[in-house]
Amino acid sequence: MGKVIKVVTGSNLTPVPRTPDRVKGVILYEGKVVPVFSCEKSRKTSNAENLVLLMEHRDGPVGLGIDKVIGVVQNSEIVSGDGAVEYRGEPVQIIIPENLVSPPIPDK
Amino acid sequence: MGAVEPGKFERAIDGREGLILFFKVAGLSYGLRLTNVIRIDEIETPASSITMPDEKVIKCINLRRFFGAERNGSENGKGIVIIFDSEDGEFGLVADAVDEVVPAPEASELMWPPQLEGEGAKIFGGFFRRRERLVPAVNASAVREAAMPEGL
Repeated sequence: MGKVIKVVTGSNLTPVPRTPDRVKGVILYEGKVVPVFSCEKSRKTSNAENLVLLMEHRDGPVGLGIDKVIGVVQNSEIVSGDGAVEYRGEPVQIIIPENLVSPPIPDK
Repeated sequence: MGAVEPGKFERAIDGREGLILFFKVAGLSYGLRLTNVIRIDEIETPASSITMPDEKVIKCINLRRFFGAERNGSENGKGIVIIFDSEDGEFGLVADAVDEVVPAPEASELMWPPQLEGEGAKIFGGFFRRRERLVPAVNASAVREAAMPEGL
């Protein structure tokens, strides 16, 4: 996954049936169809989630549905240890966007 | 061409080669090129078949069920059926309502994004761009192929 492109409103998001639950829908961005994924397991998320974080991907831009941006930090500011990750003393969940597009196959 | 009033579907069928039909299912819009469409009728929903004027019974696919909507039939019990001709015979798609019919140049078609895998790529294949929004472009043959094993 490449860099963050920008944050846009998700008000014109089009839901698409018969797609995986992690897919919230698609938006039109600079004339292209951009898929938007959800951080949660189900696409049914709160109404507060109305922003889309656009990121580069090898096949074109992809979006991630978010509530709000609370900050942009260097990796060095993230503290990890004992399986937990913290940012300024608060536990955070690290999302690997590549796994939203192509989820890893679970171990059998 | 704007919204299609009930009873005026024939006009859309007459120009089907160059027209796109936009219709509603469970509050969402979908688009369809009218190629291979032979008839559009109003219908009471839910419906699994329609009897034609010549008594022929045509099997229908309920798009509400197919798209995973919670209710089988529309809120007011009325809907439309779009009947297609295909090599395997005629079949119908049942939707809630016609939204509008527009000349094809008024709604450019965009390709399905390669980042998005899954069955949806076959069912839709792409999107119509309509008033700065994306509308899934329904591939009727692919819907039929996918719906048959599910008994929809």
